[in-house]
Amino acid sequence: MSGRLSAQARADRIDAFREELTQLEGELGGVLDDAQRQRITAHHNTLLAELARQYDVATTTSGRQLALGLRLASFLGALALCIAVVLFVNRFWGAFGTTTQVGLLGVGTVLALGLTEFAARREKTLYFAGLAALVAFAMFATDVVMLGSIYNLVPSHQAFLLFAAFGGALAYGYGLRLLLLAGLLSGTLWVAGTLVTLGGYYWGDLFVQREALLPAAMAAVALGLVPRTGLREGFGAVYRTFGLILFFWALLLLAASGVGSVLPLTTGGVEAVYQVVGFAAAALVIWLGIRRQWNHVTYTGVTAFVILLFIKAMDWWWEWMPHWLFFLVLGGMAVSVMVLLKRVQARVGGAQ
Amino acid sequence: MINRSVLVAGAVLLLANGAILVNVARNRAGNPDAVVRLSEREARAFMPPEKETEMMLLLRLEWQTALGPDGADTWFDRARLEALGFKDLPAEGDTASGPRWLAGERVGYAVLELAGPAWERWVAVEQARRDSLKGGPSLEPTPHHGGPPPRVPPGTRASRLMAVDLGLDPAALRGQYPDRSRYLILPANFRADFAPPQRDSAGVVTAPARITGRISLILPGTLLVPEPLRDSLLALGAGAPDSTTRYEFTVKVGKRWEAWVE
Repeated sequence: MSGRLSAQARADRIDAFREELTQLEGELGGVLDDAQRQRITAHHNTLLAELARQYDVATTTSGRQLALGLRLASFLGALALCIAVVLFVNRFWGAFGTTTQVGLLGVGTVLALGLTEFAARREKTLYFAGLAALVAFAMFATDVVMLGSIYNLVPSHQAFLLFAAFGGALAYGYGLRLLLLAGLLSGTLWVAGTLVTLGGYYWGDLFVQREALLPAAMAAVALGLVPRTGLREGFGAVYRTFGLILFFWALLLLAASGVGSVLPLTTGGVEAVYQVVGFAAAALVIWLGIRRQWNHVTYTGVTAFVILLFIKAMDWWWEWMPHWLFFLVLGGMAVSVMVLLKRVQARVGGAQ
Repeated sequence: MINRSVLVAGAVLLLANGAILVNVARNRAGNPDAVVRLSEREARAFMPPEKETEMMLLLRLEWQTALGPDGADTWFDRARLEALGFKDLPAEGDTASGPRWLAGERVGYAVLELAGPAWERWVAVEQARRDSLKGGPSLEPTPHHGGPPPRVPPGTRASRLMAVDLGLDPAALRGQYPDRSRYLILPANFRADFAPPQRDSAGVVTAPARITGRISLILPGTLLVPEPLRDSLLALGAGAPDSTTRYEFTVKVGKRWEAWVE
């Protein structure tokens, strides 16, 4: 078993197998003789015990529900603690001298790092370690931002490189997907800020010059497509989802408004180019998602495709068409997309 | 054995803090690039809301762009923009491509002159305007980052800090403006502004479309007041929303063009 996610998936499959077997036997009568049944049951019990021992996976329905609750509580707890750190610093910072301020920021981050390691050693599911790691990330970000504020430094996008390195180290070290997301977001801002700066502009313009976001998005998707070698379990899906959402977000904004593009075209020309690219990319992503059986990829592609369709519909018809008719046409388009997807689903062997 | 990632994260923490502190030390080492004495007119003290922050006092630089030659309202014209690298400005009167290139702020260095010729010229122009109107007190210039201008005689409350030049090479600018007690050179963002043509009620163009430059931001914008100056200013009542406290302080700019308060 390569990791905790795979272990949990195997436990889920065993549970589903048992349920289906019970259902099947209710419909057809006995399908396994006693010896086979005992052999399978014994094997599964041993396997589940081993998975629970090695990976601390949930082996029952209530266990899975509890695990989901723990994940949610861990995330919300981390979020609350991060906000608490930032508000605490804002509230009381002025009462300390500069040296104390600098010292406290560094020591706080080191303590949170120590807590992460401590929790990771005691708990395989990493709920508490994940929480502590996110707090460490927030403390580090606060450390860098507050140092900049204390010394009146000119804001720089280079800070995002530090955030990406810090978040990435913790993410890969412990297999924490939320930290990977934080690192990816920071890395994206650094790459985009660097590109904007190289173009002679202020790095803060990266949200105006949205094309600067595309290289990082494509790099994230590419990293998510490479075989799992070197990647932590579940990281591929994070790379792909993050990259695709970022890619289509930037593309949709450019398709809706071409202002700020580096393409030597009029705003209308820029919008047309990105609309065409958007449709092509969405179609490609849907195909890829279906082919590789990546639901998250398919869903992202479908969502982008539909939004692009709506943008085009707005361009073509909103001004002159009665609004009731416009929305009727939109509904018709949505039904057409559904029919198209059902056909694709039928071709690849899904439900009719 | 400690997870290697914790060591890497710790190293990043050390590197970040070390790099920042070394750069601050390098900036402040030796003789500063500028040492300028400012008053409450040039830097308004403010505190974040009391419930959110304790005893943090910030100074927000107040400045305005100096008038141009021959009565123009700014020296930052199209020619200056082109000299600063705006190569693709649309032709005069081209209103269609305005939004296309307006996006984007560039980075340079602004020269801020304290109570110098630019300020005196502004006061003179304002006084002349006031005299010609035979009116009462005139408007103070609208300071950047400030609220609505007070109706007071010209030159009594307004910031005397005037942005008189902008360039890409701060050392070259210092060569042009050698007085280190009068001229601050600070990082600044600038952009091109496109003013569409003005028309009267009959639709006749009364003023053609115009392209000018604009300094949009002096960086870092606010300066944190360190102890013990903070405590002195707070004791005087500076930072309160309706404060009329008068104060002076010294702003220094270091080798890396970063400012601090003393």
